Amino acid sequence: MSQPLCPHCGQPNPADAEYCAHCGTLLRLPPEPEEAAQETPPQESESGPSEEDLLAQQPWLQPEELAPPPEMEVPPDQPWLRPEQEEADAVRPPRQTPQRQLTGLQGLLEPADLSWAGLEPSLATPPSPELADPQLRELRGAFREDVHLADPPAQAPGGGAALARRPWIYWLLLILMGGGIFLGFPPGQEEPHAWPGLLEAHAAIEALPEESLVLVDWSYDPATAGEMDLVALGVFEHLVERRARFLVVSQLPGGPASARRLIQRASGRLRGAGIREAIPLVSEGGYLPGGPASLPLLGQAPGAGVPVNIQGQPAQVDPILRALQVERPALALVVAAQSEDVRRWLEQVQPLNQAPVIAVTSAAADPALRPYWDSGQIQGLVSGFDGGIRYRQLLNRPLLPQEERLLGWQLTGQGMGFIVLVILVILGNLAGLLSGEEERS
Amino acid sequence: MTPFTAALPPLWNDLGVILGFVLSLFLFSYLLKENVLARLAQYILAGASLGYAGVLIVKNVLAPRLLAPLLAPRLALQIQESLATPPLLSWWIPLILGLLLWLGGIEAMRRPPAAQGASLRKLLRLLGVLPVALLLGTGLGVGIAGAIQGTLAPQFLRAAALGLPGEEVAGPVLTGLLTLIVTGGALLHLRAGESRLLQRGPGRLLAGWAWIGQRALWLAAGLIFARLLAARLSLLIAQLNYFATQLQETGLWQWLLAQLR
Repeated sequence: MSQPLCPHCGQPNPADAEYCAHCGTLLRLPPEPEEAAQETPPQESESGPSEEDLLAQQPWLQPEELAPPPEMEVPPDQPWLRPEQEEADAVRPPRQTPQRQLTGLQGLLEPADLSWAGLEPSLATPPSPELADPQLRELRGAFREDVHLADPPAQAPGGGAALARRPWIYWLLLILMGGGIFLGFPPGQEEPHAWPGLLEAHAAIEALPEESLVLVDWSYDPATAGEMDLVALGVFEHLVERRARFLVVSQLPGGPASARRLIQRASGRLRGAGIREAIPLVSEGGYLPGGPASLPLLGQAPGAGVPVNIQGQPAQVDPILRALQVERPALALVVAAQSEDVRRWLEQVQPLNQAPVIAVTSAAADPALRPYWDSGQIQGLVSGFDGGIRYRQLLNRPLLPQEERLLGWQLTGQGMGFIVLVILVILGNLAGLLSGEEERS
Repeated sequence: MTPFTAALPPLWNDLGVILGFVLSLFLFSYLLKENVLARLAQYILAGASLGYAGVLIVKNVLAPRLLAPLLAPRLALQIQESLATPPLLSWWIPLILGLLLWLGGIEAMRRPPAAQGASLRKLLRLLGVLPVALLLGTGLGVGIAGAIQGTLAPQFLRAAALGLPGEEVAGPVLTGLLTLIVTGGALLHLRAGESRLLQRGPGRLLAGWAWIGQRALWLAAGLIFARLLAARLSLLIAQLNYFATQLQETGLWQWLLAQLR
């Protein structure tokens, strides 16, 4: 049975799926008997849309997918299988319409259908012709820092891409990583690597005068907190220790709660280390809706961009909001799980307020942000669990026993995980080489 | 008491940890096969996220920033001092546009009206376009301006500065040349990799350039994948560590263990 390809993202879906499992696009429209009685589509022939029409609407379709199904012999005792009988029985086949859709909430919601608004299809996101090439589709997935490894195995197409969707790979990873950690294998390296940008980030915060104003863009939520908390904890300890005053805003609904929890942890750790005055000087700007379009206001006038704090208090009551109306921030800190959020800040806010930017990001975001570090648009870059642990080592405070354990787990687990992946890459290449030899012979 | 000193009662905290553990097990069961428990956990996650976002938007955005100033003129005056815009632009127009968007959205969920009649529904559909157009137009304008001032111009200037002829250092010049070859090759591969123009005559030279670009793209994708993998492994290990430490500390877990013994 053929798997219908999503008209929006081009991914295969089960034959009976109504929505795309990858992006949530509605795959077929329900039949509309009233409309069908009133109007007949003039362009479509009785056998459905022509091959050219289909190709114009869905350029990623392969020629074999457009070919009509082979003729089937109809047994005399099953007359309902005859095509003319089927046509008579059918109310109306599902209808494909040109896509006029915009994705929403990071793919969580069904993309908004703008056809009701009478907008031209060119205003929406048309399916890209590049999607026709599976290699380019895979590339797009990699550069989006979001490789889908959780597709249902039944949907995996043949070829190399299916290798990444085989459950035994996950099992191997889980067993070796879990086994290595619980059996207490020694970590593969003595201390984590310090990537360029880490020392500069530490120096920039160290150089802040007391009570400097810091604007914090919090772009991660509980979904990525397992990694990001590790990265950000040391930086916020440092900021609290330097008695910086910071305004925290987030463009993610789950961001403010994650920020509050981590800042509590950072100040708690400092008090545990004997620094009693470690009380965070924080104003919570809360959730900032509006996407990138709301960011320039934050760069021009933070007081106008965040007129009230999360408790609904205006600047007359909140001292940090009041200070931001007359002072420029001394530093901007972008704490983000994805490079896209840092890039937005550098494009929308930094050119307006000229505040130096320190990016605290996941390991996945690091490669995409290196050009900004090289061009000097980012003054410091702390990324990945290794960057976070290295930063905390720079603070010259001993790690707590549970932190020592987590560090050991991270180093061992990462080492084992990479060993599994190297083995897979070698095996995959060998398999590819051997299958190529077979085809040639 | 500020939110920074507030904490959940221990019982709620314990329940949260245990519920998280159970839902994680449901999700991990996907490794065995696609099943109803894994689906259930995904639906709970999506539903809880949307519900939380809805409550947050009402409590943290609509109530303090829009409804409270409209209902309390004194608060409106206080906020007004930090805003350069008159109240009409700050609150009334956003409220009207928001209402139009909601009504237009609700109307869009219904079946389109018949050709004759239902003029109110048609009007709502028409007016609903206004906030959508405003959102789209602003988003596109801001995005394009930002991309030019924050990425295109600085990155171009940086790349151009590397190859200045006055610099008598071979390194930067070579780097600039390499950047040009790789960038041009990648663009050529993406836009014309499969074009027939590259398969004959002088086009073959460009095909070679596109070949380099394709290899460079995959090299970059490999680097991103390696760091992406490190990020996801970190998440997994942190989650395992969380359960190994937090779960054992919960009172409910201790009680369950005691009952089992």
